[in-house]
Amino acid sequence: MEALYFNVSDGYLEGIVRGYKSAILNTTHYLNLTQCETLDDLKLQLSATDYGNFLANEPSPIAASTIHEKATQKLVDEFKYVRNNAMAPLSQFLDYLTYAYMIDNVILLITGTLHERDTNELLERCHPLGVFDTMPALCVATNVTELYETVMVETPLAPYFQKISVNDIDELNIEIIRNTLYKAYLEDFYDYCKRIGGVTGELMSEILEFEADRRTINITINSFDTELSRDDRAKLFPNLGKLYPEGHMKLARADCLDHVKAVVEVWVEYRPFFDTTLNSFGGAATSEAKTLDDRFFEYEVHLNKLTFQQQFHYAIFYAFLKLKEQEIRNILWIAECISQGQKEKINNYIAIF
Amino acid sequence: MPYSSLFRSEEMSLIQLYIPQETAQPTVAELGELGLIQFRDLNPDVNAFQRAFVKEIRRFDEMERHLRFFDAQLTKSDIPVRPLTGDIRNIHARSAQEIDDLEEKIIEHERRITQMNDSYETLQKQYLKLTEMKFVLQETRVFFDEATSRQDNIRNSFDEPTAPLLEQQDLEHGSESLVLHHLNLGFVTGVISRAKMLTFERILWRALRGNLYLKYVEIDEPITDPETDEVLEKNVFIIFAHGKELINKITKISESLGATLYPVDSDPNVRDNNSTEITSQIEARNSVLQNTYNVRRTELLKIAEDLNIWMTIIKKEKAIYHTMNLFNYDSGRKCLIAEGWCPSNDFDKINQALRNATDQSGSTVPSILNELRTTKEPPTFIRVNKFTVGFQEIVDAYGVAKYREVNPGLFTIITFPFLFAVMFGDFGHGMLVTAAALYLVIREKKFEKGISDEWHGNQTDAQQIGVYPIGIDPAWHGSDNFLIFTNSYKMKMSIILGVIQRDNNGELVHSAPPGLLNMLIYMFLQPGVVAEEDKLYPGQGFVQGTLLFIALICVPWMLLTKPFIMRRDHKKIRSQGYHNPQMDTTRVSTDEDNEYGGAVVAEEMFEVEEFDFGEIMIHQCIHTIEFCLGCISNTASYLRLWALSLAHAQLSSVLWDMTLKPTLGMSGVLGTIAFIIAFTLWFSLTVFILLLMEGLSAFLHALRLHWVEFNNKFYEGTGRKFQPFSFKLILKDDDH
Repeated sequence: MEALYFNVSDGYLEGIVRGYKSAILNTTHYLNLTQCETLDDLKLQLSATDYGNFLANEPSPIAASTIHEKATQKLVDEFKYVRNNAMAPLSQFLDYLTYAYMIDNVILLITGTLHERDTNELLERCHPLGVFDTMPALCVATNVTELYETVMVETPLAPYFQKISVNDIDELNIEIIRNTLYKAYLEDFYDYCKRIGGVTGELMSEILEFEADRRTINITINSFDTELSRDDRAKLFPNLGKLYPEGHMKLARADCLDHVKAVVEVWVEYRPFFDTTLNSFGGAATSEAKTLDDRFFEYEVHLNKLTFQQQFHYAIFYAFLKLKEQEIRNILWIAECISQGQKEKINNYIAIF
Repeated sequence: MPYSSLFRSEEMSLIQLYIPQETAQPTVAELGELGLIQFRDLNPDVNAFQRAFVKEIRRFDEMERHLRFFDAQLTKSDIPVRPLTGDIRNIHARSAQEIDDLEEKIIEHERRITQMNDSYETLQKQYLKLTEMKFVLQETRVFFDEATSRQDNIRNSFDEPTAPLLEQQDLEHGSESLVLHHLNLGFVTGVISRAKMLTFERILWRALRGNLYLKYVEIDEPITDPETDEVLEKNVFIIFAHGKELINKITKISESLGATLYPVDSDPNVRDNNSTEITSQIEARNSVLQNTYNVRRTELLKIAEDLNIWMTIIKKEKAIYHTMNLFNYDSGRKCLIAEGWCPSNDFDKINQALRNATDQSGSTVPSILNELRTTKEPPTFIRVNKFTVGFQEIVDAYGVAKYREVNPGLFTIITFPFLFAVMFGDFGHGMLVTAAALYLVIREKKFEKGISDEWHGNQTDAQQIGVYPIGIDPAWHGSDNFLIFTNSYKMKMSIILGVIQRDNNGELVHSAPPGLLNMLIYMFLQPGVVAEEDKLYPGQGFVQGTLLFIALICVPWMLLTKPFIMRRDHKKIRSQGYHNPQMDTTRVSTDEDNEYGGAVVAEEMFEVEEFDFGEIMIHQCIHTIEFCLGCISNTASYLRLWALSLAHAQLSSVLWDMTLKPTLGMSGVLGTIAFIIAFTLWFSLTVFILLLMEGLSAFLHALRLHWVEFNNKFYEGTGRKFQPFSFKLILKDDDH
C-alpha cells in the first residue's frame, strides 16, 4: 500500500533527491581532485562537477574554508528546497533531521559562552540547518534550568532538555548535556521512524541503531580516565542499537580499548572496526591505517548507500544529507591536504560512489 | 563542388590545421570570427587543469569576475550599462599588450571602487548609528513624558479605589517606572529589527520572569543596512527593570539578538542637548556622504561606458584559449595542430582567414590547412536563414538528421504551414493572424526575436482559400501510401498532393459527396468493380484494380528488394578480393620519433560492421510490418485535419449565431447598445478562442503530424548538429 500512495505527496521530492544523489562525486571525480596542485585547480575541477560555478565569484587565491562554506551552503539550499516542498509526515521527518544540528549549535554556543567567546563569532560558526530564532539568547543563560526556561522551552528540543540531570554548566557537564540530548533525540527519532513503519522504519532503524552504537562506543572510549563514573557513563548510552542491552552493560564496565574491542567483536558486522588488518567495507583495499572514526564513517556511508536500493521511503532523505555531508568533509580534507602540502595523506577521504 | 541546400546536410570535411605557435592566438581569433570550424578535442585524456592554456583562462576568469563585480555595483546604483553598438567583429584585443593594459585598468578600477565602497560603508554605518540614536532620543522622550504624566494618574488613582482592574495593572507598571526613575534605577534603550521584536519580547519575558516594563515604537523611516543594502524596518524600545543584575541580563540578551543599544540619559535636559548635537552631526555626515556618493557614481559612470566592450573582449579571449586547449602541440616544429570539421564549400574562406591572420601578425610562417580522409561520421550542417530556421528547429527538436540524410526540414517548410492552414481553415481569421504576425515582423528589430516562421505560417494560411469541402475521407491517402515506398519521404509529399487533388475533386463531386467514401471502401472490398452510379470516369474499375494490385505487390517488394540488393553488392565486393581491415585503428603520425609525443594526428576508427544477411533481413521485416501498420493507423491520424477544421468552422459559426447575429436585427438605441456589447464579446472571444487557442491547437497537431506520421516513415534523425567555434554564438549564449 505504501508504494501505491507514496508518490501522491512525496514522489516529486524523492525524484529530486535521487537527482541530487546522482550529483554526488564519484571515484573518478575524487581521482581528479586529488591530482590538483593548488586550490585554484580544485576550484576548476569542481566547476566541472555538479557544483558548477559555486565559487565563480570568489577571488583567487581561494581558501579551503571558503570552499567548505560554499559547499555547505549549497547543501543547505538543496535541503531547504526539499523541506519547503515537503508535506506531512515527510516535513516532520525532515525536521527531525535538523534537530541534530540544533543540538550541535546549542552545545557550540554554551561551550563558547563558557569560554567567553564573542557571540557573533559563535553564531557564524553555527550550522545553518540548526539555526532557530531564539538561539542567540543562549549565551545569556548560566545554568541548565535557565537555558531551558529562557530559550529551549519553545524549541522542539524542549522534551530532550527535560531529561538532563545536571544543572551547572562546566566542561564535563557540557559533554553530559550533549550526550543526554543526543540520546533523547536518537530515542525519539527512532520511535518516530518505527511509528512511520514500512521500509522507512526498517532502513532508518538500521541506520539509527548504528548511530546509537557508534555513540555508545565513542562515549565509552572518551570517558576513560575522566571523572565520569561508570554508572553515569551507562546513563548516557542511547537505549537502542545492536549493543543494547548486553553490550551496554559490558561497555559500562570497560576501562581500556581492548575491553571495548572484546565486547564489540561479538557482533560480526562491527568486528572490522577494531580489526586493523581488514579492508574497508565494500571499498577498495588500502594500505593506510584507518582511524576508528574513518571506519565508522565508512560503515555509515555503506548503510546510507543501501537506502537508495529501495523506493518509496523517507530514509533516502536522511541518506542524502549524510552522504552529502561526508562529501563536503572529503572535499575539505582534500583542500586542506593541498593547501598544507600534505599530499601523502590526500587519499584518506572516504569515497562514496 | 556540391551546393548547399536544405535537402541534405552540406558536405563536411575533416581538416587539420598547422598553426605556428606565435600566430596561434590571432589565427584562432580570426577563425572564431569566421565561425565555420567545429574543433575536435585532441586531448580527451588530459584533465581540465592540466591543459596548456589553463593559466591564461584563469587570468581571464579573474578579469571576468572583476567585471561581474562592476556589473553588480552598477545595477545596485541604477546606472545603465552602455549597450554595444556596431559590429562585434571590431571589438577584439589587438595585442597581448592591450590585454595587459586592460587587466591593469580593470584592477585599478576595482581597487578604487572597493576603496570607495569601504569608506562609503563606514560613513553610512556612522550615519545609521546617528539616525538610530536620533530616533531613540525622539521616541524615548515620549516614553518619559508618558511616565511623568502617569505620575498624576497614579495620584488620581489612589483617590479612586473603584478603578477597573486592567487599568490598575497598567498603573502598577507606571508607578514602578516612576519609582525607578526617582530611585535612579535602570532602563535600557536601543533599536532592534522589527522582525525580531516578538522573539525579543518573549525571551525577555521568560528570562526576567515578567519583571520588566517594555515599550516600543516603530520607526516610520525604513533604514538601509549598509552591509547588505537591504531595507530594514526597525523598532525603538525602552525597557525598565529592577536592579543591576537584571539590567545586565537585558543588555546581554539585547546584544545577542542583534539589537543596538544606545544609552540615553535620564535627565531630560541632557537628552535635549544630545538631541541637538546629534542633529547637527547628522547634517555634517550627510554632506560628506553625498560627496562620497557622487565621486563613486562618477567612477561607476566611467566604467558603465566601457563595461560591455571589456566583457566582449574577455569572453572572446577566453573562448580562444578554451579552443586552443583542444589542440595538440608539436614541440619540434613549434606549432599547434588542430583538427575539426568544416563545410567542404568553405575551404576558401578558411584559407583566406588563415592568410589574413598571418598577414596581420606580420609572421612569415603561414598556417597550413590539410584535408584528412576519415570514416568518422561528420556532423550535420544545414545552412538556414531567418526564414527556414524555424522549420529546421521543428525538425531538430525531433532529431538531428544523420550526415547526408534527407532533411525533412525542406518538406516541412511547405507542409507545415499547409497542414496548419487546413486545420485553422478560415480566411478571415487567417487575415487577422497574418496582420498580427506582420506587426511582429515589422517590429522584429525591436523584439530581436525570430518570429518570421510564424509569419510564414500565417502567410500561407492566408493564401489558403477558406472554403473547402469538409469531411474529406483520408483513406484516399492510404492508397497512395502503398504506391510509393522506395522513396518513402516522397510519400508524404504525395499525401499532401492528395489533399490538394482532393480539394479540386471535391469541387467536382459536390453533387454526390457520400459516394466517394463508399467508393473508396469498396475499392478494397470488391476490387475492380465500381457501381455504375458511383463512376467518376470511364475505366475506373480497371484503374482501381491496378492501383490495389500495385499496392499489394509493394509489400513483398519492400520486404525483399533492399536486403537482396545489399547482399549482391556485398558479394561483388568480396569477389573482388576486398575484406575488412584487420586493424581497427591506424595512427597517422607525422613524426613518430618525437619522444614528446609530438604530432599524433588523425586517429581513424574503422567502424565497418560485418555484413550479416540475417540481421538485415530481420530489420527489414520489422520495418515492413511497421510501415504497413503505419499506413493504416497513420492515415486515420490524418483525420485530425478534418476534425480540427470542422471544429474551427463550427465554433466560429456558433459564436456568430450566439453573440453578434441576434443583435443585427435590433434597431434603435437599445439595438446599438446591444450591438456594441455583443460585438465586444464576439470580437474578444474570436481573438482568444478562435485565434489564439485554435491556432495553438492547430500548430500542435501540425507538429504531431510531422513528428509522428511524417518523420517516422523515413527519418532516422540520429545525427549531431554542427556546432562551429564562433564568437557570435558564444556571445549570444552568454547573454541569455
